[in-house]
Amino acid sequence: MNEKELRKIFTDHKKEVSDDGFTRRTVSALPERPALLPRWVTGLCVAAALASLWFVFTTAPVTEQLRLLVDSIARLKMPSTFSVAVYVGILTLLGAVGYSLVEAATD
Amino acid sequence: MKKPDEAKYVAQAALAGDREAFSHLVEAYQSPIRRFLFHLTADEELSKDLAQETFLKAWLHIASFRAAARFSTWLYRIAYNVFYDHARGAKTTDTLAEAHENRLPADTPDGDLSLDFAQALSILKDDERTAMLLFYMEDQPVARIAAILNCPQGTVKSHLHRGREKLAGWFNDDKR
Repeated sequence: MNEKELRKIFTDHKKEVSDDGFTRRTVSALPERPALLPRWVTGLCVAAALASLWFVFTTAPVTEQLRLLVDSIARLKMPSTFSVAVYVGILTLLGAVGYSLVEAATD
Repeated sequence: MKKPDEAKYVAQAALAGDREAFSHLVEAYQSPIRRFLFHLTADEELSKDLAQETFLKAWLHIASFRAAARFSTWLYRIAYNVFYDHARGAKTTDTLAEAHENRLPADTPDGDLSLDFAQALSILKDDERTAMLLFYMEDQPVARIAAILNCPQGTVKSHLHRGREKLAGWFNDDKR
């Protein structure tokens, strides 16, 4: 028996399996899926973000810090601690809010 | 299913837990997965249960799917693991080859799996049967079969070589 004949045997037995409600039954049996990240991670992110923003707002205007951050990146210089805190704070807050929205949509 | 649609449904199922999106994936892949499991087990009811378990696991772990791999390869890998776990359990009382043979002639999807073909598959070891089915029936290349079986490509080639020899011998001997 050569390769061609062997392949033909398998091909001859390759049949489409009709759904017959399999998809509906399977999807209806899907369990609730655990969240991608535990809720405490979201809480921690929000706390970190709020702490960063509080730190920034009590020391200098946020717009000024953002301007300094962009400016230092443009000049390829190390940004100041304040502007990094603004950047991290805003990003973390956006991430936490975005994740919470996805979680809410899933629920 | 077109690749962009598949990627969209995978993303929706993974990120938003969209059951409707996941149902499109089940619908698209139920036939190859059930066929693969049916030929591994020679038992229609069992293959249906194992296929359902495969999709349940895919649903639960879809966030771990990496787009660099093909979704079908990932799904076959889950199906193979589900089958392997079942086979390991079954081997406590019986070898899978015996179980495979004992189930013949089983009810078959659409009633058209010939007894000869099922008996021919039963002479193969689990890994040989899996490699042969993926290569000749599901048209998977060696590299993807290696990913599904989680073994080197050389091992897959060995399984295919032995599988070919055994099946050729079986058919050439005029079915024993």
